[in-house]
Amino acid sequence: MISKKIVLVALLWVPIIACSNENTDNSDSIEKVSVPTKQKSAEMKSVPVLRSKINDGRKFLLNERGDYFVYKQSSKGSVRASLFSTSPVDPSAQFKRILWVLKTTQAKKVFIDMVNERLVNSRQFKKENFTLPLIDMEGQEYEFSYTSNHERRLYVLNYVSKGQK
Amino acid sequence: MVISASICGLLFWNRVKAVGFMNFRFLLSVLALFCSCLSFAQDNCLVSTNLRELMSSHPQLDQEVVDIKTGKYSALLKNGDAVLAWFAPCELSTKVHYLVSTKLTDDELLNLIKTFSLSVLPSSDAREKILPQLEGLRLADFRESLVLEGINDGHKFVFEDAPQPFIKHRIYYEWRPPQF
Repeated sequence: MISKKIVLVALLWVPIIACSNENTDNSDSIEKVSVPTKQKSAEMKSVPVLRSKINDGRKFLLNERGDYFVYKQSSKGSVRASLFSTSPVDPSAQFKRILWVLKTTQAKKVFIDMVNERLVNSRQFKKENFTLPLIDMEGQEYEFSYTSNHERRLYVLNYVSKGQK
Repeated sequence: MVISASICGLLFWNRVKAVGFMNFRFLLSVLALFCSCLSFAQDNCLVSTNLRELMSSHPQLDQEVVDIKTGKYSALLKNGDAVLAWFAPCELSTKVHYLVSTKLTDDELLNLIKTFSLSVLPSSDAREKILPQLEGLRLADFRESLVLEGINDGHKFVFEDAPQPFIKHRIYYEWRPPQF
């Protein structure tokens, strides 16, 4: 009798285990589905992909997290960029985003190294809104700023580089 | 899942017939345990908002990114406009931004708000209820937050000019779930 009960309990557990496996499989595949229309996924993996260019030189793209990135580079080397997100950014991710912005806008390596050194543990990143002005060795000015709107869930990182005078 | 449940049901019934009432209670408790485990395994939230791919059928669609886990949906259009949406994975809430990258006239913007509302409103019932209310509204009406009444929920629309560098206009939509 007891052995029958054990067998039955064991049988009942089979679908539970099967279902939980099914769930993990699904979440893995659905977690980040990047769906490029027309162009196929091979191109998506080479981040970043510039999708649109408007006449005034602005460039637009969605990164792999679904954040919307717009930037414009003038002939004199000045850059303006904005990264829009619908999820709040934690301090360590904020630093990575800044580096991503610099790489995507093809900032000078010297400046990227400087940012790496100075901002890696910046306390500013813990704030909901901040402005971070920076000057490099050549006296060129840069600024990062971040604004949060929790009520509407919009989080924007702005970047300005003044360029050569 | 359905197949395994029906196999369990069949087994269960055979056992009940075979072993009588005392064991029936035992089986019932095992079944209850089974069900509770199953619901726990699926997700830990009591409610969640379904993610909808709002711009999938838009003729100007250039790129889409969907993340079911965080409830984020983003779409980029060929003209540089973007739709950024958030469908709360653990509550009832939808927030959508339409970021307009080029300067448009008031009439163009009113048209855009209407076509945008067609894609963001959650159901055909909501569209039937809300679209007539949008008729006759001026752009100025959207500048202050405007909450339109749905069947038993609310639909908030806000229009703003140049809220950020690069973005000339922004249309914001928020779904307010029914209050119980």
